[in-house]
Amino acid sequence: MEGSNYEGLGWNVFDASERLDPRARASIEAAIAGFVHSGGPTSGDELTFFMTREVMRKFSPRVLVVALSDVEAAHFGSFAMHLSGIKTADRLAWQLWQEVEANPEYKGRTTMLILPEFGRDPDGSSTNGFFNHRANDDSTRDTWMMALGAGIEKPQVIERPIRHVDVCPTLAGLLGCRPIESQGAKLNEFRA
Amino acid sequence: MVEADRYPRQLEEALNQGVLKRLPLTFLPFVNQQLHQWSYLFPNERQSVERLLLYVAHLNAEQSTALFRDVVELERRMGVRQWRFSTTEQTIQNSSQLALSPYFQEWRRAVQAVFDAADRNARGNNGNAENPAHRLVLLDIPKSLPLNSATAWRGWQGMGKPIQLDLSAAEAKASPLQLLLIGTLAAGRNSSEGVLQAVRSRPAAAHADTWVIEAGIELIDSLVAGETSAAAVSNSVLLSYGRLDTCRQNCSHEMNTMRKDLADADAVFDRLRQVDISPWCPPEVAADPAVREFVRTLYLSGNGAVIFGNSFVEWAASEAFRRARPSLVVAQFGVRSKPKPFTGVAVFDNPDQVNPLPAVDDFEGSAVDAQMLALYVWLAAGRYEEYQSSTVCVCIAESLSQAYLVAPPEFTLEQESVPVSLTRLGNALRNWIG
Repeated sequence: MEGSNYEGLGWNVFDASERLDPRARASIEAAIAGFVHSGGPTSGDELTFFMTREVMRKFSPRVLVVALSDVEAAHFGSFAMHLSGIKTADRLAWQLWQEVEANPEYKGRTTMLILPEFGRDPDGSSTNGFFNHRANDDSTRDTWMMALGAGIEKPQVIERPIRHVDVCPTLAGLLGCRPIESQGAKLNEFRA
Repeated sequence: MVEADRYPRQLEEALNQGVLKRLPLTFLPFVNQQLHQWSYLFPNERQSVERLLLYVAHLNAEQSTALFRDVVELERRMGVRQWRFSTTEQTIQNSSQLALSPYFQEWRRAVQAVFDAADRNARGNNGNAENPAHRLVLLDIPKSLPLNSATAWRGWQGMGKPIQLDLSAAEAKASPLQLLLIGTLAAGRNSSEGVLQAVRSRPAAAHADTWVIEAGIELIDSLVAGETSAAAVSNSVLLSYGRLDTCRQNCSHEMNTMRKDLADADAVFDRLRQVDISPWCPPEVAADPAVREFVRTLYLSGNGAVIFGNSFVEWAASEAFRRARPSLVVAQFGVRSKPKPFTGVAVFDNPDQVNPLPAVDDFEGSAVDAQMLALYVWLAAGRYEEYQSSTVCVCIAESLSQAYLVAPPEFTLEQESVPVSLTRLGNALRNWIG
């Protein structure tokens, strides 16, 4: 995404397929083929979920980052499609957790974090409201995060602001990495 | 090359006397670009540059230093002179460097303060004689888009009030919006003129003072086809997403097929700026350089203008407010198709070309989009002083036989409690804008 103007013209997903490991590529192609023939609902996020599940089942990586982007229709001004993307992401996050619970490689030893990339610009802003996230405003910066699974001490709602920079050292600690240089600090609500 | 022959005499004199040398570095990209694109500017934009430069030209050195002191100091702190910073045009690289600076917001406020000072000076020279002219924003969500009466106006947060409309006068051949715009043109004592004629008959009706923007095609088709209505819109900006279809498709094709070096987005934009789009535009756009370039810039600035008709309407109206400050803006929303499987909105594919499935209208989704974007049009107007105290906004929801009205107390329909006929509404709007 470096240098791309994804809110304007010329945005596209850069072609990284040539750099993929052959096994990963075969797995993705199999996932796409299965997905296309499944007859299920079709959107970019559905495809992402389908491929994520394939990767989990075939490779069981310790770290998995899943970026859902149906909500990005907001950049093109369809509020209905943006809302639809939110509902899809909500459902797929739940389905992903169901996969974690059903997969013996993950069950009982997985922590899942769900967080929006940004908020949106305020209605009436010169940056065109929900279309974008450029405003120097709390509505773009203040968002939420949900954490569940093995790394969480106890169910609770944390009302105090959590800094974005605290997430990385917390996750590094969960994975048993050596302490990393960071402006942030580990969150006490996670298991050490 | 500066096209000096088109500048007003006073401005040309100021330029010849070196007024540009007195501007801070960060003013130069904007001012130079505006001067180079003079023939593509709307009157409001020309006036803004002219006011600034004439104001600066009349200051002595001490006053000029005082005017720009904050900007110059912020430029020093930002280290602008060490940047790769174009002084001839506004570039993405310029914008990125400015936006990344921790002083960006402070710099923006300082720049605005300079323009405000120039505006105050211009008003002072006119003896503070500028009375706010009446303006009208007329929005239409057509009957095919079903709104929920319980939630239709929730987003407006009590800025105005809903009024019930009697739309029975709308005929099969003319929509309520058409009737309001062009009136009942048949001869006879029951005929009446429309809002378009009323605004055109204003003594100081300027170029680009009326904008009609639609997501579809029928409204502007009808306006340019009728003899009387064509005369009424002869000085108006007419933008139809549907009539611009060829232009939009070809621009999308250029965007999709050009070699993209993502490290140099300015080069991509330069290429798109050089494409001659005139042959792809309908006559009402091709004939007017400022409008033609407005369309190109609109497409280049994203915000869905090449993707969805309703986004085009909202963004075009917002940019019209920002750039032209028109007295009358008419915006009609429409229906888009449901997204097809395996087609992405982000990559400018034409879904009908890449997916053989038939397009299916999304009436409910389009209604949600239009409901939000109609509000956004009004909020966009409200960002500018010209629209804050003397503007009537009417948003018609045909499916509900309702309109949402935001208006100053002196607008005559404010006191209505019975269903308002189109004739009554039309009279009130004509009286307001005429």
